[in-house]
Amino acid sequence: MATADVKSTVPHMDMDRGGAFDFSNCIRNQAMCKMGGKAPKLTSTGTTIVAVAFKGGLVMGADSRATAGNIIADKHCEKVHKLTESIYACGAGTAADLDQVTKMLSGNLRLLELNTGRKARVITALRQAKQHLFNYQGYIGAYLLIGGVDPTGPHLYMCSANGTTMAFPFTAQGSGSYAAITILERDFKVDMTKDEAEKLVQRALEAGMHGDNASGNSLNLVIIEPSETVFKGPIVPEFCKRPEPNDLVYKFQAGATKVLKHKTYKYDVVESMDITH
Amino acid sequence: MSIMSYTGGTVVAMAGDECVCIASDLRIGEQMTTIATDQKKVHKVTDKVYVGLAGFQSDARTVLEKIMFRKNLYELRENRNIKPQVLSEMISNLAYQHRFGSYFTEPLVAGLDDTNKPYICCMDTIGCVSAPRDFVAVGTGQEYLLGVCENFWRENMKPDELFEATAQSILSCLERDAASGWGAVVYTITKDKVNVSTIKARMD
Repeated sequence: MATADVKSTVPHMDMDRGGAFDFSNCIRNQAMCKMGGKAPKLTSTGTTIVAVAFKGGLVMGADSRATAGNIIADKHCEKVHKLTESIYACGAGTAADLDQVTKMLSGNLRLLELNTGRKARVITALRQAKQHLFNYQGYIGAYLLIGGVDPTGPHLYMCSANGTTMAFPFTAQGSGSYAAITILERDFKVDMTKDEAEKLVQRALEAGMHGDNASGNSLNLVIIEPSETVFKGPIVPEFCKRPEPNDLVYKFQAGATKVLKHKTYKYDVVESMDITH
Repeated sequence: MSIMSYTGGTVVAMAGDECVCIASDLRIGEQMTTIATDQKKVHKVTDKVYVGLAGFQSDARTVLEKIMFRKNLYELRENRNIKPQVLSEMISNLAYQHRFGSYFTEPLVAGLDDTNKPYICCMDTIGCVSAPRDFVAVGTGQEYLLGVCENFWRENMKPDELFEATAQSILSCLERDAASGWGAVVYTITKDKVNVSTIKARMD
């Protein structure tokens, strides 16, 4: 089939719903739940995320652990999402929702920047996030800290899954926020230097990683200023390091596993035209 | 009982030096009853890209068909082979489209990209991708595998070592996971060939 034919038939098939959700399994899944099947565990970020404003800028940070129940599903997941060059979002809640919502936001903001020829504002990112989340009445489990620097100055907002938003000089979110906020409440000062703010965020994150089982492994920081944005990470605190074994090599000799049947498929190596590089 | 462990089954993948290994068990069950003993949960997508689907196997079949459909369209449109990174994004979007009525299957992608760099990733049922550089596991034996792989995996393993590490990991998992078993199959993907080995395992 020629490419043009493929393109013209595709929109009628189930692929392009314009990004909308597909509810076709819902009734079946509810029936299965009634029969006693439990729903599967979703990956949640189970997070400590922290953000602090300082004189002229903003420091945001997150740990990097994703959990599914008590299993650590991902040791180095990226919870500091880039929305634009100078706007970042840290996420807590359902990991898939956070990935998709931040992906949508960064796409929309980029289009906005290209269409207007100006840098996007933090309040725009916030409004887009809250309107999307409010539409879904809290069922999209994304709890976001959206912050950045735009022509109107540094801003830091929190956006809840149900669409509630607030502005803060400093805040923490996620399951480790209780530990983190104690450090912030004790040590936050108005108009700190960049260095002080960075240290404070790191200490607050470490408190969260220490006190909360669902946070840990390593931390990522982003320091946003009008002139530049610096990303730091992953930083592994001393207490998160795995103790090195003295002499541990589980090395299996070739042939250690008994093979019953074996088959090799060799490829036909075809020169391909690759337009990616 | 969770729907995710209704049919049972486990898939694991490990990354090495210009090679990846992906392995699955062969059992399919109805809770504690074994129904079939030749059900591979690893499927070929392209020469160098394989996908594993653990969880509820009837959904896994449906999802596999949807994946192949999208992958075929992609290759027709783009006129080139799909990269594992692209495939995982595609599967992630497919899974997230069903966010509020999900398929009960956890996909896993393993393969080599066009520079033969290994890529492995796993997802939850609604498409949250986690792509570590060492190993991934999904299915009923996930907990056992993650623990054992943590010790068996080493940096830059060659295809031979990688095969042994992956095979021994899944064999250890089968010792303790009642919902998986009845043999295992290991695919070792390297830059010029794929080795498919059915390994000797306990059959109970």
